[in-house]
Amino acid sequence: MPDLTPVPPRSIAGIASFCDQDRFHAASRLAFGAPLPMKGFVQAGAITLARVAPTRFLATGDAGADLPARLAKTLDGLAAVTDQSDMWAAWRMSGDSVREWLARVVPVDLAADIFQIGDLALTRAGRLDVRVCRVDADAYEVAVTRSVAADLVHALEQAKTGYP
Amino acid sequence: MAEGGLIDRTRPVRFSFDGAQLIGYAGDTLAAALLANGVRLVGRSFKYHRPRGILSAGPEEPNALVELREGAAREPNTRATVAEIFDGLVCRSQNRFPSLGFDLMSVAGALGPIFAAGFYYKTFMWPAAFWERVYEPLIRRAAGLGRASGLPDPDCYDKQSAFADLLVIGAGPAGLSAALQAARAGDRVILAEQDLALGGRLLADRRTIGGKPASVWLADTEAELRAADNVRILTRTTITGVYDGGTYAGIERVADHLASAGGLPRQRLWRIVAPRAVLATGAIERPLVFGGNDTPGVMLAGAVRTYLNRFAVKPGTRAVVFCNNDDAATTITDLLAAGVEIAGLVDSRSELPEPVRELVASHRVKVFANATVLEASGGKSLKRVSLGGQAQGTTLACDLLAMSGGWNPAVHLGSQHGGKPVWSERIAAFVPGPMPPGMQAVGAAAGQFLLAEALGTQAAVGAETDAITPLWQVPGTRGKAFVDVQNDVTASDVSLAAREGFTAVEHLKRYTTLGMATDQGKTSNVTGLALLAALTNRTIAQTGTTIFRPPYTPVAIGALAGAHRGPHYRPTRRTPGHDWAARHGAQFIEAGEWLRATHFPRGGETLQDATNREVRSVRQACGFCDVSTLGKIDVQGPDAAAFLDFIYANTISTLAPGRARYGIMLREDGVVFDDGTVTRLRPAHFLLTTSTANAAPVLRHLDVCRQILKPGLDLCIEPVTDQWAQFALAGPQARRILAISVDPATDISDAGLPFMGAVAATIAGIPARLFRISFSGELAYEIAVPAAQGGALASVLLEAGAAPYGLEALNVLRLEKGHVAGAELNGQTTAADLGLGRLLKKRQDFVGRALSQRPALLDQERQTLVGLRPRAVGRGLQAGAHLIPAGRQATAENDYGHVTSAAFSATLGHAIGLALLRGGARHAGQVFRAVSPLQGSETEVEIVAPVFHHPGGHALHA
Repeated sequence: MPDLTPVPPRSIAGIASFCDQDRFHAASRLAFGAPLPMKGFVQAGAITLARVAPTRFLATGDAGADLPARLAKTLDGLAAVTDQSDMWAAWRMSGDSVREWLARVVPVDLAADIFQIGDLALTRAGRLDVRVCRVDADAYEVAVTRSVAADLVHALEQAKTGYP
Repeated sequence: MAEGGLIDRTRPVRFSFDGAQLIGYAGDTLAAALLANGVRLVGRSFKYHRPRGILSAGPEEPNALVELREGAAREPNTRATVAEIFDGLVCRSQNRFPSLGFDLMSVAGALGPIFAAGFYYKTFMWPAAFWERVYEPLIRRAAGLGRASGLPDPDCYDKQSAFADLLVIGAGPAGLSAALQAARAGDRVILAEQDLALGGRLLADRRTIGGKPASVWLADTEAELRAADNVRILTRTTITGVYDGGTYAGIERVADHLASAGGLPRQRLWRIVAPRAVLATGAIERPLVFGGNDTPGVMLAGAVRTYLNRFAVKPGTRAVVFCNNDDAATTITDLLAAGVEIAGLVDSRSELPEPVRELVASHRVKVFANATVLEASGGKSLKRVSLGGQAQGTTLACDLLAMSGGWNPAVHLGSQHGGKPVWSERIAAFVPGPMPPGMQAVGAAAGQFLLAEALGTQAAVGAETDAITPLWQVPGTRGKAFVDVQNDVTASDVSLAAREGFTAVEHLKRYTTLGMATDQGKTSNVTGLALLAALTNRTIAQTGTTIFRPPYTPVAIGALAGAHRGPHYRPTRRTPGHDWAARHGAQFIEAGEWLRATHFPRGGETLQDATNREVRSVRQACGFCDVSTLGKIDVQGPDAAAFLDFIYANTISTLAPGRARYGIMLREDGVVFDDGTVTRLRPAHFLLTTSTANAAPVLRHLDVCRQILKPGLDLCIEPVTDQWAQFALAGPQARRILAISVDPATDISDAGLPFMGAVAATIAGIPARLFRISFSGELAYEIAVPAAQGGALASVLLEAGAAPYGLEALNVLRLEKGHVAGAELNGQTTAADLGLGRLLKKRQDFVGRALSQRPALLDQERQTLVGLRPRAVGRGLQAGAHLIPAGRQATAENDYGHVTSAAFSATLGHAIGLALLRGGARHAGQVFRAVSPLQGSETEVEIVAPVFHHPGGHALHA
């Protein structure tokens, strides 16, 4: 039986670049020690960098990392940085048959060789906008905005019941 | 039969039909089990209540519709040919009164002429008052199918997505061959089969492949497919719809065949995405049209073979085979092998092909060539058939008539994108025309009826032939000759429709109901339009088919809803303070997409009592309210100020950092869109609030404006509503209460944080944004903290002495101050209508500026915002009431406007209201009648200014 565990609070900064992409990417590379991902998410030291739109990224670190304030300074004038640490509620789904379970929730092709570790999908779970990341071979992270967290849990629990 | 078939005789299954206890075996469909128990009369027909039996052995069944299960789980109109039996299954016949054997409503048959095609358009014309009250209930009672339980569906349903390179629809020999080929090539394959077992006609016909029984090939193929990692086999799964982008809907009957679902969903809705699909849905046999062709015991020849070979059931003891094609003649072999006596083969063809002649010669069966069945008779069970043509005058005693008018490829799914099927003279049937992108038909679905064609190999399959000479209607037939047995549409109904001018197929369908209801004409459509073609001197190809739409077979609404039902029908957003409020006794209401606290009752208080107390606590001391639902949008960038000047009707760019401003935005047509505050946090960083209801539309509007109207501006827009918990703290004591917990470094004096000021602070150690804004007219603050801290902030405020208040009190407070809200921002009001006209920029451009100057929007007689006060103390006021000048009749021409918002003001001790009134403030001091025909109430009101409390606003600046 696969598991559902809440992801503990983290420091999350939304980064949306202004028009000067070259300077933005150069400054980001300096700030993170790695380029921002073209798709999906990558690990840059203790920070996870995810691309959620052509010019939008999420930087996620430990709860104490205070990424929004730090990045607002580093990327001042190059990107809009917003504090999103409390905006998202995320769960980790893992274990045997986790793919079958998740396939009952999101319309994403989860085949192991198609939705790979490091891939990210912005999709729908019923009527909820969700962000799905494949974080390990048999583990996914699903995030929704905080106010609908209870609905996502219901959808996940519902999809889990009654299956062998 | 004692042996044979694919049923499991070691697992008997007990079930009941109309109260009779019966026994079948695992692997039986309900239809097979009923036939095995000698039950031939299964239902009554839709219109004439004629006795009906089992026509087919598949999902196309039009006759044998029953109610399954009991109580809330009862499901009407279930096809007995598809339903599997399980221990304890309770099923009942439907559309009969008082019983199946003796149905009083069968008198309708004698009234045939009244119930002919289009009868409800002609018969029940006059008087009009009878339409809804008399005629419709009468017709509905007399005609109909099963009864819905009327109770909430107790079962659960599920949805799942699946992706593949190839979807194979149907697991007959053609589908299996296609799946095997693709699987061996390494493709990801989904094989969907509506039946419980793979095999299609191979389960029903006694065939050989490569010199061995077909069951050997079938077992080998299934084993290979099941062993392949790249193949997913879905049995009991009907593909019901083809949608854009290679998307298919399928219904899997997960637990319909189980006595207890054991926690499984009853059905699962599959959303399958595959760039390529193989349509291997086989073909559906056509009945022949002759008198009494609906008598129980008249069955499709292919179905007879299914019952004999797959279910080991003899559907009769003495049979006649009536056909126009070679395939049906093979039924004789199977009947004889099962020990059924053959009374004769009646073939409408003048000359029988060689294979058929050989067949009947070898079995020494009596043959009537160039002959027809004129009439089948026997009432509730077939007793005899009267022959015509060359055999005119012959009567054959029999209890089974196996008939076949040929086969129609099941083209439905291939035509759901609008591609019309194409007529094939060779097989006298429609074959798929232009298909949905990526779809290809194979085997019988493509009109290739021979097994060798379906397998696509050189494997020896024995002699086979599919020659046919069409016979659409038996000439000189006697009695009711049905085209569509489900809807009781006869051949004469079709000709009546044609005579009356309904010569288009779609008109024919609607006028006669041919091809409607649960089977959608699977056994009747082609015959019906062939008759229409003959009547109108057109070819069948010219006549065409009706449009094919999803779903292919009936789908339970519950399966479409899945888990989204009851309170989970749609998501409900909860504020960061929700749990805190629930712990403190709040009552909640669904407001748009949010669940919001209406009030915090104490010790048995009513809603009104609690609201009055909460309003007084704000006016006299201090209260706090969760306003996190307001939309919050972060706008940053070098051009953010210029952009907001364009978005808002009033000027934003002059706002100093650390200051907030009320703003309104118009739609492009000049009407007010939304209002809220704009705070400049830093020179290039703004925070917008929107009304709760408009949070998403405003965000969409901003994105449209940025991307399309102002693509050259450099800025970013980010919705941040969910990041923040925001509380309004208001009342004369607000500053004192705030001072208890705010960090000492933050100056919250009137000078340090003046009205419309904003500052970053810490409150009880929580980082916060502090805004001095007010919608109540009191000294007030809004405090925003990270959402996870919402509950903690509420506790801090409560401990400091502020009282929580809910949505009701909030509404009263804003009304007392005359602030407009959703009821006034109703999509029809201009800024001037709402008394906000002075805010509009005079020179600069902004969204809605040009059209806000339209003459119609500047008309002096427009309805504008006023306040209302009942003349008599103690009278209530209803939102929605119409305003009629005193002394005039409450008629449309005297309707001057309506009450938009109303409430009892605890502060003033009487009801107050806002209204939109023609001529507005010009009527100040005048008396109007507030008439509410819906509530049957009327109150005399005086027109006053819309600001009731502290019109001077001095408290704001305290």
